[in-house]
Amino acid sequence: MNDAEYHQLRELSWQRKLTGAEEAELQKYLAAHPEAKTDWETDAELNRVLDALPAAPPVASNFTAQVMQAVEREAPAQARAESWFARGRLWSWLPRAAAACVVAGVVLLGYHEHQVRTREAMARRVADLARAVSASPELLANYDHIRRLGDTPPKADTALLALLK
Amino acid sequence: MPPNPDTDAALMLRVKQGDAAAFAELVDKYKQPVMNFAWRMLRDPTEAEDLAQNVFLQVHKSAHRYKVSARFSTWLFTIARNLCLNEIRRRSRHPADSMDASGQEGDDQPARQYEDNKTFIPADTLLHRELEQKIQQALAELPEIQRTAILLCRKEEMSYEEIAEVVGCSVSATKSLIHRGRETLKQKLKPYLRTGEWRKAEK
Repeated sequence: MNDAEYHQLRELSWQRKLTGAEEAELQKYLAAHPEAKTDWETDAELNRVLDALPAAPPVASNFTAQVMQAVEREAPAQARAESWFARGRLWSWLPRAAAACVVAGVVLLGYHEHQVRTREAMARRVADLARAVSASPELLANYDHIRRLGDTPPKADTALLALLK
Repeated sequence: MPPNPDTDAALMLRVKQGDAAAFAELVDKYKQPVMNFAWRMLRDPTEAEDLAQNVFLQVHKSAHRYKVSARFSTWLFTIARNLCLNEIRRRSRHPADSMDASGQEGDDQPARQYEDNKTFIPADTLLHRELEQKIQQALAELPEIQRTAILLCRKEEMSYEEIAEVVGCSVSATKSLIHRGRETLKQKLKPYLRTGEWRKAEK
């Protein structure tokens, strides 16, 4: 038995008497660790003292009957309390539900406003572009080429570079 | 014989459905263990029995909150401990009240039994009583949580996990509580433990 097992056995002895096998293991440990013997014996003595504490007086022979009578007396009050409790629990949900609705409403309204502003901004930009194009149609001359520039990855035109040199 | 947790859980489920017979069975089973606990905490048999009845009343009122996952005895002793704590606090605010408490209606026993000091008491009985008083006093001087943990451990044979639930600590903290409480008791009762005087008195 190692030290950890000894301490476990000690904790077990605080709850109940040790079995014969447990006692035998303990004695082996104490024989190997005489420094632990005094502590163990004091512990064992305290266990015996606690076991010898007098028992409480027995309850009255009509204890259960008295409890059942008290329960019956309290039954109407308990039923009222439970009804109030149930109603209280129901009512306690309403403010929370209302607050959740308000928050959801604010979020939806905010999203709607954002959508409306975004569309308005886009409409203004389209109108500006239409005015610019109608004033200067040559702006659209190379529109298709410019739009396709982004589609193909840029490659170095080595032939053109050689010519330019 | 330790209580069967499955039986207790089954009985409590029936109590939740309003079964009075199931509740009476639980009361019969645990009335003395609850009384033992309350008496060791309060040291007055009349008040302990009143409190024990209130424990079961509280159990009945709170039956709708009982969950099968919780062991009934753990739940029961948690309620018992809370009521004991309330009573201890009440006493500390009104120390005179407990001396004036009267017995229950219809009780044919007086509320307090006072010893007739003129009766001859043998010396070894006196010694045993003195030792008993020392032990009770040492226990009473412990912090309530240590006292509760030690009593539940030694007297009610609860597991460390169950005791931890009752006192509201982790298992390791509970073991530490019990260890510290026991060390304090050993220090206070050292002369008696070493000499084993109390055992001589018992013989």
